[in-house]
Amino acid sequence: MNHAADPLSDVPDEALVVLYARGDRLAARTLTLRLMPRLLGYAGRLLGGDRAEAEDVTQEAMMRLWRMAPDWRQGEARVSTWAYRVVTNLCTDRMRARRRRGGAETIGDHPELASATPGVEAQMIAADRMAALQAALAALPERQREAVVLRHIEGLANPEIALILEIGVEAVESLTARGKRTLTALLAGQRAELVEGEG
Amino acid sequence: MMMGKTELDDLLAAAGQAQMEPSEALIARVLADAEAMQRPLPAALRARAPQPPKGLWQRLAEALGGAGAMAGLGTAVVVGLAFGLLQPTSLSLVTGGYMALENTQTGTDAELFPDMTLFLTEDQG
Repeated sequence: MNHAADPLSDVPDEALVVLYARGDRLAARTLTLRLMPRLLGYAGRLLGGDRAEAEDVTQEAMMRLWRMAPDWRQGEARVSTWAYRVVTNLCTDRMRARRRRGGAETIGDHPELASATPGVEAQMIAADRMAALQAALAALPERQREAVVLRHIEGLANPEIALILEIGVEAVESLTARGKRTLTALLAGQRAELVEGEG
Repeated sequence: MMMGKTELDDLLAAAGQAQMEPSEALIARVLADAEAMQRPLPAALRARAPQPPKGLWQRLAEALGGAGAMAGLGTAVVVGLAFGLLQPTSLSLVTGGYMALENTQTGTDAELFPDMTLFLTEDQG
């Protein structure tokens, strides 16, 4: 897919929100192309790779951005931070709804069950290293998964993650550390397969 | 065998490089939402558009309380001018009936506002 270059590349997200609120259509397109790939990827990671659901969440998050644009107060938060927070909350709601329905996501808060879950185990055996990672991420407790994805996949700094998850920086450090330890444990036994994948 | 820390970091970094590209259909839906929710230019901003400067009378009317106040003021001015410019008629036309006795003796009209000489005149006995 080849989208036109960002014509407002020098304009910060916050200013684009204000421009959108004032009726600028180009600002809406620029914001969409700038934010959506990151939000979609993040939602996909949190939702276990379910693209359709990740698209729904991303569209809803962008809808909320358009809705609140007239009331946006510059200087209070970065637009991307706000958007990540919305996606996090929407994904949390969906994961909880899944659990209530007894759906696929049943091990999010019980990583110790991951190795005993046929779905995850079978996927880790059969899939490539990204699928294995996705399965391991899906098996992480919710907050650990959010922190690990934001820190190590989205590449955000701990203070920004703290704002997104509405916790302290120390709690972020603790979550990412525990998350990585859990990931390492979940991916144990897959090392040979992963090394082969790199070769 | 446990997975090494560096390998996990590499795997996570590789995952970060593999972005999930939004489809054209999703972009179209999001932009349609944006357009549907975009408000027209707010009235507050329209009011700030350049406007011709206010004239003297408009500013004066606003200072005095609006068009109603200006109308009342204009009426007062006209009435004042009328009182000042119109030639007063003889008082006798109005008061002649009431002051007939006094006036018939002197043969003059009543003087409601006598000049100062009346008060300065001393009785010579």
